[in-house]
Amino acid sequence: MQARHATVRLDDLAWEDGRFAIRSFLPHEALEISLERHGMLYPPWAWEREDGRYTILDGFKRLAWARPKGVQEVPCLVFPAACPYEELLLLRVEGKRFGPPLNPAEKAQIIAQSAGTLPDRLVSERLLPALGIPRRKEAVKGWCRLSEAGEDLLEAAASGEVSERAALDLSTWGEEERGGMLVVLKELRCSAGIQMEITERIREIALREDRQRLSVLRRPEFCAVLNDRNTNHRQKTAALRALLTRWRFPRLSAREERFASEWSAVSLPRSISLSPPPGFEGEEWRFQITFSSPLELRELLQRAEDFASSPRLESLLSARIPE
Amino acid sequence: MRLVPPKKVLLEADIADSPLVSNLKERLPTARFSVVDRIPDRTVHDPELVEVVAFRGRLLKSCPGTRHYLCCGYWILHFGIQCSLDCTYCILQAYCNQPNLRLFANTGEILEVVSEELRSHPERLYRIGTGEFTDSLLLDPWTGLSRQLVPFFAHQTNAVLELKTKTDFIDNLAGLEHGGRTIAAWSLNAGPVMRSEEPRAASLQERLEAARRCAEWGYWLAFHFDPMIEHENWREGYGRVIDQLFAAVDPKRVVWISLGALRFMPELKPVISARHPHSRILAGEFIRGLDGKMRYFRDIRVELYRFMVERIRQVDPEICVYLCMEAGDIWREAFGFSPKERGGLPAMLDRAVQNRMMAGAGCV
Repeated sequence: MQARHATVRLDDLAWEDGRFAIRSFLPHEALEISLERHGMLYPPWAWEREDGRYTILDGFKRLAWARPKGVQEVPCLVFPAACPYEELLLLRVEGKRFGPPLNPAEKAQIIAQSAGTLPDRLVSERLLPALGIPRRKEAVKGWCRLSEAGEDLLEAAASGEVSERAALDLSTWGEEERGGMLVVLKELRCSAGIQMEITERIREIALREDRQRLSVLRRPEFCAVLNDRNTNHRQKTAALRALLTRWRFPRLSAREERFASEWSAVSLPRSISLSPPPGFEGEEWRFQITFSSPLELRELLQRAEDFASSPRLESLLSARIPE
Repeated sequence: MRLVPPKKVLLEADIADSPLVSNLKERLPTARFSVVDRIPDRTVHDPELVEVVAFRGRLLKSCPGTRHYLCCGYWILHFGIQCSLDCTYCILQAYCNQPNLRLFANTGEILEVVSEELRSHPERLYRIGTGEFTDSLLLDPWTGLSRQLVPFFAHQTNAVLELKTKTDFIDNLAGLEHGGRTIAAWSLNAGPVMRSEEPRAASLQERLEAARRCAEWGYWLAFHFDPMIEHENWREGYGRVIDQLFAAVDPKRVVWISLGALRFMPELKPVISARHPHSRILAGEFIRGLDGKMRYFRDIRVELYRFMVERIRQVDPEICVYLCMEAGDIWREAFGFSPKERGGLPAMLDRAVQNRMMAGAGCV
């Protein structure tokens, strides 16, 4: 693949040929400022065509900037027409790898372009590792789906408002419910892990209750938290997580609430605490006494013994919540 | 249930002349057989393929259990792996490096290993099953394995064999010398669960009809409500299956009934979501159990079990009903006692074998 440096007339570029175009979905003012100041520091790449024109391989934004400026010619790295398209596609990815990190929208476009063109083995063995994507069977399908999931999601993924994992997950959602979820995630500005937790909770609540996901997002209680003007995004995230957990695990939540309420009614000093096993699973409960003097310990032990002998302990341990 | 014979059989060279392969060749005349030195691990599932290899691991092993929950002390006879019934909740979906049906052709060695183990502890009663890593009878029409296993166990004084299935492929069991040492067992579920989560398995009617025929042939029976799945109107669903079960078979032929609520390794969740996106089983109220598996919040499990125990007891209070992998607190709430108070769960099941099947009388 012998590329050569040559000057290419902008009129000879096949602007309509977007086979190698990878949109960043991000604003590029900084690039424009740099171009204004310094011009093109690196030559764009072009691929010669049989008809004498050139397909743009790399440098779409720079060339698009030059065009309205009246620039006639640009020095390019030109690949001969005999170069196979597949090889150039891989080369384009290789060139992208060592620039700024590729955002999820760019990765999605690269994989979608490649999946339709390159042999599966090449995609799996060369492309995915080059993009830092695990070589799982379903990966290619998921990324292709993301590439077609609409500008809103791609923009949110490119800007980092929606994490890569959440974007891949949301690409499986219907258009309207995806739009609703994007509003939520943009408002919450939470971490990737919490984004996944929230999307998963909503999906499972809808599945559990046999409802549309959008109907969960539109519940008055949910909207009230999201639109509360007196709370910041962290407080909203915490409140929504608690709400979704209650909806997702109604009986466990009811049991936790009942335990908390019964324990509070026991009215023991705050230096005595009783903790159920996580999820009430198993038989290991924890009873803890914090003290600062022998006298205090003796008094607390007496209170603890009275409580242990009372029916209230039995009630606390076995308070099942009927269906 | 419709039989779909495999179209391709891939053999490893060192077992190409084994009796199991001869059976397959005889009963699958249109299948394409090919031989390779070693079948590699794969990632792509081929539903038309059966792989036949010599198993090089432990052929007989005790159920791994876990220290947090009470195990029944079962022994697993490993004759194959994977299953084409494709139930949504199946653990075998997580075995991604061996996605195809795979049979172990060193049957002679399997039986030798069992003989040796049984001889080494004549005082111990072995309850041995083949349905842990595959369905016991799914491939039996072509392997004829039951025709070797059942007569073999008929002559063992300290062991019983349990063939656990969701099929009605019982024809090979007819006329065998079983000596009252084989239990034909079916996994059952509520009607809506069977339809949505086990669509390729035999219907309830087919399973119960197969059980009835086995009982007629003198086999003992067992049933496993595992995994029980909480769903809308689950009481009605499971109650109806209990009614149909005991309308089809005499409770006195039933050695045990196990109950186990759905549980799964967390790694299985994305697999189920991807392979069965419409399944609702993952939407249950799961917590992480003490063994790391996801299980229903305990109160839900207790309700499922209590209901079943009461319904079964109404029919026959003597049937041994047990919980698979649950702790003493759940037992006490569902049954009113913990197995520890009765000598432990393995002892309870051993007594069921001794009292119902009149087998293993000399074992302690």
